[in-house]
Amino acid sequence: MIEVHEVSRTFPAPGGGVVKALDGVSLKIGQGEFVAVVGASGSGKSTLLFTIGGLSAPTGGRVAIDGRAVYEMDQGARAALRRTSVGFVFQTFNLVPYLTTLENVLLPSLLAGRSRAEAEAAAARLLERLGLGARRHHRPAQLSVGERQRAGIARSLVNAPGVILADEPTGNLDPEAASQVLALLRQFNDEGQTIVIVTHDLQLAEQARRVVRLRAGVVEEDRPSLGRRLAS
Amino acid sequence: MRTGSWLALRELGARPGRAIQAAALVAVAAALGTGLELVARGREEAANIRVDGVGPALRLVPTGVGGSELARLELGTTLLPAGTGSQVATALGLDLREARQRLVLQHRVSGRSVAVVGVDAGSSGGVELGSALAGALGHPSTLDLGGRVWPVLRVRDATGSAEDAAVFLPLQAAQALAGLGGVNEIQVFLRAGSTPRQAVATLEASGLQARVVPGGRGAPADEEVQGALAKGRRLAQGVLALLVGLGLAVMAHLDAAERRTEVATLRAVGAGSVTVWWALVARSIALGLAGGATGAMAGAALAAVHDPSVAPRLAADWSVTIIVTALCALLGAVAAGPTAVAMARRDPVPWLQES
Repeated sequence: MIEVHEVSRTFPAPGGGVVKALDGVSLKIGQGEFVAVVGASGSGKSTLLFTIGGLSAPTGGRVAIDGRAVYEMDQGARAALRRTSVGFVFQTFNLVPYLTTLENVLLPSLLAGRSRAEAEAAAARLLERLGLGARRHHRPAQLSVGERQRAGIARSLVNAPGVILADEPTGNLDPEAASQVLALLRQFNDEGQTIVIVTHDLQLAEQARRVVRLRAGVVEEDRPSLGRRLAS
Repeated sequence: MRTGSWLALRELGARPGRAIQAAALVAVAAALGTGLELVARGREEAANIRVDGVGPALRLVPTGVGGSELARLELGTTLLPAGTGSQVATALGLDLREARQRLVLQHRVSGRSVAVVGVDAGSSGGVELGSALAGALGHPSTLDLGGRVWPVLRVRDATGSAEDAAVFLPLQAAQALAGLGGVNEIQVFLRAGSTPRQAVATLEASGLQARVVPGGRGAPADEEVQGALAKGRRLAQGVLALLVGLGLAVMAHLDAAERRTEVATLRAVGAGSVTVWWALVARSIALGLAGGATGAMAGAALAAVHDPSVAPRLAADWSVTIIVTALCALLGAVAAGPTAVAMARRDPVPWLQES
């Protein structure tokens, strides 16, 4: 369960004053939900995602994951939370360029203190499942963009976190790769994985189960997606 | 730390370009520093041998005894207070290369009064003769001294001093001969870079119950040369270390600037700030180690080949290689440290958003 309560985040504006990226945002995201956060550029979507993930401290309000207040923890405990309870997926994949696909995927496991053998086994299983078994020893530059994003998803899942936070996961993909990635996310969600994606692609957003629209740092709309409404 | 080390080594292996440049810079500096050190040590050893042949930089004799060369061979039975040797070592500290304790006596040998010198590094079971005395006695193979016949083990090279007319025997034997339990002279040999004048001032200020007499002819000039060499080499090595440090710091900074997204990603996937810091510092330490070891070995080999004063024994002395390598690794850590700390502490979100 993710709880975002009255969260604000301001940044100093270049010409003086402050910019309100988030302004009193409150949300509750239950276990197994698939939420799409939409909004125009600068509406605060990515800031909200990184704030939920423990990477960007809010200037006001409270964020809790599974009842644990994220910003009442020290830096080390927040890093541990990111290792065990949260998985990030990025628009630009952010794979470490000098590591192989397998090494990229096992990296969070090593950081979490698992043995190399355990980490490799878990990473290899995920890569097989995501159709990247044959690419495990390739470097990111040798993969297609769709494969890179699948490797990014595998990395986010390797420690079996409770929550996947995806920042524009299909933003750099061609339509075919985008639909493959989306299908994967839905598949993991069907298995009970909580997923929060940030996107400006409304079509993609409607394939989630719930849509939250941000405008100037404020929740403007919070509703079930069209896909869910049609299904019900 | 383990994952940080692994990341550092994987990065070095996969992107060797800049790493090779940095290691090469370290290697060149390490080679120059090692070569300079070994050449300086070789020349220092040669100078020390010359200086030791002429005489010590300073002598300590009992208070009230004259400082002339003749007087020191007629010291008699007045001894230095016990513990003077350790007081000298404490007072001079690192300036002291060696302190030799001696007991100088006058004794009759073949009907003439001769200076007999007990030396603490004397040849056991025999005596050595000064060149002039050996000539005067007709190069005997044995010497009757105090009712005991001693084999003559060696005739010392001429030094042009009064000691050419002396007999040298082990200190304990000289003490037994005189029935004395102490010494009446301590010869002080200084390290390169330490001047006799400074040492005299230090010893006089230390409250020693002894007279400090500046050393024999020739020594100051040799010590001046040694001093200049020692100071010059430390300055040159300091400049080299500074250049290596700056080079590694610039490389670490450029490298970190290129790896912002990677660092931010590591933070996002749960790397703590210590892991990130160590991944960056370990890389720089590895470069320092590789460059330092390669350079130190190359420097030793080049010094041995090009400078005849560097004996093979000196060039093969691993302590220089180990110290240079460790120093380069330390420089690597110090040079990359500030950048690594800044990277590990910065808010990663702007770097994630700019990617």
